[in-house]
Formats: sequence, C-alpha cells, structure tokens
Amino acid sequence: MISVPSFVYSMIFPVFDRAIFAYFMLLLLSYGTLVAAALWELIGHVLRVRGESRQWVLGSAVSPSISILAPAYNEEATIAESVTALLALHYANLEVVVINDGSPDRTLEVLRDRFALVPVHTIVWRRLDTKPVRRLYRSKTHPNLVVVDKVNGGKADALNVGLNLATGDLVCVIDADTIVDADALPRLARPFLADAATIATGGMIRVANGSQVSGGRVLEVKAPRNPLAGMQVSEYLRAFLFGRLGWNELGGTLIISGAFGLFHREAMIACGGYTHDTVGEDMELVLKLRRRAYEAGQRHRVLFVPDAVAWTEVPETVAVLGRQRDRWHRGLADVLWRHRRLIGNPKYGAMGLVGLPYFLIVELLAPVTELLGWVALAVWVLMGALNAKIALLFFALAYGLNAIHGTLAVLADELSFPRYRRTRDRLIVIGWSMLETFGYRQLTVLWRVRGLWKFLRGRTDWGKMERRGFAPPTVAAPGAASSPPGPVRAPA
Amino acid sequence: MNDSLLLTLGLRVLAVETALATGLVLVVLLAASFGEWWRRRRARQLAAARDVMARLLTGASPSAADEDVLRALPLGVQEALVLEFGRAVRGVSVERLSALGHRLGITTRAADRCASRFWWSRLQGARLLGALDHDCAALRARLDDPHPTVRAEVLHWAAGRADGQVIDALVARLVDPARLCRFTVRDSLLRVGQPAARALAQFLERDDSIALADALFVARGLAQPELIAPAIRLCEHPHAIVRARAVSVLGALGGDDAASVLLARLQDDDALVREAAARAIGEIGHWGGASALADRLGDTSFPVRRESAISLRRLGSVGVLVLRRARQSSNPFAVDMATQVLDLPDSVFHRIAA
Repeated sequence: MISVPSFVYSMIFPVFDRAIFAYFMLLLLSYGTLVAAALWELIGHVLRVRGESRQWVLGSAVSPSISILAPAYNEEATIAESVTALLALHYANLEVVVINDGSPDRTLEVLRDRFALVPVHTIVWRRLDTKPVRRLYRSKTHPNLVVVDKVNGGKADALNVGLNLATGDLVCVIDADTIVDADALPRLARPFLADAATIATGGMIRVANGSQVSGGRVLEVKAPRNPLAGMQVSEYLRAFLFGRLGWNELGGTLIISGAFGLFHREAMIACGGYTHDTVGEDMELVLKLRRRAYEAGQRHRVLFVPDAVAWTEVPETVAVLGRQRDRWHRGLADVLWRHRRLIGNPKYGAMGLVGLPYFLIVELLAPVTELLGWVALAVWVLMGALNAKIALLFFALAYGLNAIHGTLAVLADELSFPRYRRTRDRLIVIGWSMLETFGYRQLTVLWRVRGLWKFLRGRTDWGKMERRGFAPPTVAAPGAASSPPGPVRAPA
Repeated sequence: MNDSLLLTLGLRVLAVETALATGLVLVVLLAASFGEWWRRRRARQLAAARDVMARLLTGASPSAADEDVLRALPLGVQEALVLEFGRAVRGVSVERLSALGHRLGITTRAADRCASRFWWSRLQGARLLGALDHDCAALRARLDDPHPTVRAEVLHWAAGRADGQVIDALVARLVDPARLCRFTVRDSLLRVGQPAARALAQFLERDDSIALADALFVARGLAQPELIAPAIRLCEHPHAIVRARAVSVLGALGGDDAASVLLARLQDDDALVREAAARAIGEIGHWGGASALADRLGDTSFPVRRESAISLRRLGSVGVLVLRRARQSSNPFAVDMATQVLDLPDSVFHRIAA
C-alpha cells in the first residue's frame, strides 16, 4: 500500500469526491429531464398518428416531392436490391438519386444493367462545389431514377452532388445499406406538412442484426443473439426514444442521423450543404441549418419522428465497433469545436443555451469523467483510501439507474410503436441492457476517449467499416459508414 | 456527510432503484405478454369480422346474424373496422357502412366524442364520422376546432360534402394559421373540383395576402374558365411567388389571352416567374412561343433554361427542331441544355414534363 500525505486526504480527495458527485447529479438531472420530455412528446405523437390515414398524404397532389439521395461506394453486391427497395417506397412523388462515389468495383455496371441506364449529356446545376461529375445516367425503365457517377470525394461530397441534382422539395438522405420501412417516408414528411418552420426531420434507426431481411425489407424483427449487437439495440432505443425525442420538446435537437433524415432542400443548399473535412458531417449540417436560421431570425424546427423507421446493420466485432465509436466521438468534438462560439450564446436560443452545453458537458466529456473515475478508484485502492462499501454502493446505484433507463426505453417502445412480436425477443433486449454495464460500457468509454485523443492530434480519417451485409458480405468504404445514434449513455 | 450516513442513504436509494427496476421489468413483461395476447386476439377478431363486414357492405346475402356478430365485438374492434372499410369503400357501400354505423351506435358515440374537451377524443370522433361519411352539426362545428389536427381531419372530410357552406368554409381556411390545415384545404379543394371554382375566383379577387399563392395552386389544379381573369390580373402581383403561380394557372388553362401574358412573363425580372412562364408555354402548346423559348435557353438561371428546353421538346417537331439548332448556338449554356433534354429517354421526359 502507498503512503498518502495527509493533505491529500484533507484537500484533494474531498474536492474530487464532490466534483464527481456533482457531475453524477448533473447527468441524472439531464437524463431525467430528457426522459420526461420524451415521454410527454411520445404520448402526444401516438395520439396524433393513431388511426391516421397515410393514404391521404401519399395520394395528394399537394404533398411535397421527395428526392432520396443514396451515396454508394463499392456496393456491387447489394446496390441493385437497395435501389429496387428505394424505388418501391410508398410515396407518390418520389425521385431516387444514386451517387456512385468513384467506386472501383462494379457498382455502376450493376446499376446500368439492372435499371437500363442511358447516359445523358452531363450538366449539373453546381449550386454546391463538389468533385467533378463524370457521367449522368437516366433509366429507361424507372423514370424517377437518376444515377450519377463522380470522382471519389467521400460521403459529404457525394451528398452535395446529389443535392445539386435533386429536384424534390425535400431531400431524404440515407446510407446505401440502410433498409427503410415502406411507409416511413410519409411519416417522416408529416412534420413538414404540419409546420412551415420544419427544416429537418430524422427517423428512428433500429438494429437489423438477427432479423429476417429479404428483398430490401425487414420481414421479421428479432433480437440479435450476438452480445455486441444486442447491447447496441438497447443503446439505440435509449438514444432515439429518449435522447432524440426528448430534445424535440426542449428545442435542442442537434443530430439527424445520416442513415435516415429528411431535409428542406433549399435550406440545405442555402447553408452550403455538407462539410467535407469533418467526420461528423450529419451533426455539422444540422448545426449549420439551425445556426443560419437563428442568425436570419427565422423560426425553425428540427424534429425526430419515432414511427418513421429505418434499419441498419451494427458492428458485431470489437475492432469495428471501436473504430465506429472513436469516429463518432471525433465527429462530435470536431463539430463542437467548429461551432464553439455558439455554446452558451443566448443569441442561439435553446440550442446555444441548453443543447450545445449539454453535448459538450454530458456527451463529449462524459467518457473522460468516467475514465477519471475508474482511474481514481484504482489509485484509491492502491492508497488504501477507499471505503469499499461506499464504492460498491455507488457502482450499484449507477448500475440500477442504467437498468431503469434501459428498461424504460424498452417499455416506451413496447407501448408506442412495438416491433418485436415475441416476448422472448423483448426479454433478450432487456437482458442485453442489464449486461451492458459489465465490460461493454467500459469499452465504449475507452473508444470515445481514444476518439477525443485522436481529435486533439488532428486525425480525420473514417476508418474501415466492415459489414457482414444482409445479402452476401460487403465492405463499405470511406464515407459510406452508418451514422451515430447520438446520446446513448446512462448515468454512471 | 459521514460515511455511515452516506451508506444508509445510499442503501435506501438503492432499495428504491431495485424496486423500480424490478417493477419496470415486470410491467414490460406484462405489457409484452398481454400486448401479444391482445394483438393476436384482435387480429383474429378482425380477420373474422372483415368477411362479415364485406358481406354486409357488398350486399352479398347479408343477414341479421352478420350484424349481431359485429355487435358482439368490442367497441375498439368495431371502430377499427369502420376506419379500415371507410377508407376502402365507395358508392353504395359507403351508404351501407353509414347505415350500419348508425345501427351499431358508432355514429352516436363518435358524435358525442366530437364534443369532448380532449382533442384526441374529438380527433377520433371526427375520424370515425368521416369514415362513416356522416354529416352532422357536431362534425361541422369542428371545422373551427381550436386544435389544428382535429380541424385538418374535418377539412379532409369536407371534400366529400361539397355544398356551398362547406366550400365557403374550405376557401376561408386557405388563410388558416396552421400549415397542416392549409395543406388539407388545398387537397380538399382539389378533390371538390369544379364546384369550388367560383368561390375560389372570388377569393382571388378579394384577397391580397400571400395566401393567394396557395389559392392559385388550387386554381391550377381546378383549371376552370372563371379563374382565367383573376389569374391574368395576378400575373402583375408584387410577390414573385404569386406571379409564378398565376402564370402556372394560365399554363393549365391556355387561350390567346393567356399566351400573350405568358410571353410577356418570360421577360419577368424574377427567375421563378420566367421558369413558370417557360413551362406554361410548353403546357399550352403555343408554337408561336418557340423562338422566345429558344432565347431563354441562354437565360442566366439554370431552372429557366431547363424549363425552356423541356417546353421546346414538348412542342413537338417544331420545338425539337429549335433544340437541334440550339446545339449549334454560340451560347454554351444553350448548347448544354438543348443537348441534355434531347438526350432524355422518352419515359424520363414524359415524367419531367408531366
């Protein structure tokens, strides 16, 4: 045991204790507020949409047109199925723009053969600056399909090319490997009909691992048996149902997942589209949209829609998940740094005073605080300064809160828009949620701290994302990986 | 705070947490198993009742026993059936559904709900009455409901009741503060069709707000002769969006007066108006506008160039000839646009031009 100078006991330990306790209470307050706001919003939303006919929106000549932007890189194995599924989405006035981001594989050939593409003279209204477009194609069999082949420039650049080409009033951004529920678009478009101030809406991203997928549709939803995927189900539920939905009420929504979001096209173009040199381009875009609206004095709304669902395959290996989380955290740090002048600035309303400080203190710094807590624990053990009972109790309290948070998310899901048909699957999800605290949580802390460290060292690479794929195995490349679900953690 | 006090307090909080977590898990389990049982039961009931309902609505040997089967179902299932069939059936089946709803007491209950102090209850009442195609004072009163979702639901129903009072109410709602209601009104007026044209023309004559843009959108869809005069007048409106919409109304109506106005609007200061004018000339098939459209192929605005080229192709052989000549133009913008539009496959062109 290490001998400890008396001033450490009398001065440093109490201050450190109190700081950790204060942070813990802040987390509790934040999560409590978000959960309460989310449940309030969820009840209102369920009452509004229960028994509503979506045919009304679908069949109306007044409904806004939607352009879906699907960037693709090395997707030859799945692209035909993905695009067919997009073309079959339930929305009358729909255009699908597929952007082949310089794939070296046969992505373009597959598209050309499957959809009878013919080249047309390539001119693009360059409202946003992008890498050169090589060729523009239209389909003889699917008049609402546009395919563009461009020089590789990453996901943000591909999306900006799509924005230049899109003609819809609204633009839906999805990852090429995201599976969108057939009726998700009218649900996602509803807030745009309800309020002219709506500039963006985001859908619920659910985990497709373990479910039965065929023909670009999720046929039967099952809980994943893989532990990493299973724990992410619980994380995603908490992140979307509480994190995102809660911010709807509080006015601080800052993230629309790049895997499935709907945006006002002109607003996107007016704010300069996606930023190229960041790995957090989804959050960056929303911040730019909102910042511009605040600066122009415009009322605006960015909303999460819990019943508009898209499915994604989450990583099932520690290495890939680690890279993903590291990148998400780097993205968060980068975006907060770029917009640091907005933090705490009353000019930016709820976003500046509540949303951004929350993301800085609770989201960005949480892993650092948690890591410090673990390190302090180890040091105190070595110093013999630890009251084992209190430490154990603190851990049990944190675990209990985590369990309540996770179970509440499963319950909210069950009572609003349930997807699991079997009780067994719900039990499995609750089980994964209970196990999260042992190991998985600590790993995410390490990955996020690593992300922060890399950000401080100026690393901006995406990292390789390997996916097993719903169909034959594929490898998605730089810029084609799925996007962060946002706040996912529980107090600890 | 000393350690023992902290420990006692912590243990108490932990006990509460444990109780709460256990309770929540139990509630999830209950909700899941009860929910699963309830959904299966409801699915069975609905499946059986759909056949009965179909017999009753198609008139294929319905019997009193069939009606008793429906009456024996829980109210929620009866209402779900009414909503489902109300959206699917037309003509005489709607009348049968309405009569059936009356006999089962659904109509009365829904009308009562329309007077509820809770908006979600009024909404459900309005949806049921709408599905039953039932007209009553309780439902009409909801045209002025304070909650926009309820108001929108009734405005949607109103499209099927195109009497003078309803049409006036619909047109008046073009200036509704809620966008959802304005969206619904536009949709409903389009579904009402020709009977709404007169009230709309009067609105266009008397209103001077930005709501004119919405009204003109509807006017384009209705395309009735009485809308020509106000549309021509509004082509001079100070708001570009109103001018553009007025121009597009003329594109749907045509006529010599319209053609000359459209040619003039091709020189408008605002690109939005020029774009609409270019499109409208193609829509009315005005060959005389081909050279003016050819000039617009070199416009500073991309959408104006695109619409001009599409309109030229839409004019048929004359326009295609002009487009082919434009490929030799000294203006590279005109060359590019003409080439692209000529390259478009027929299926794509027809979709764009539609």
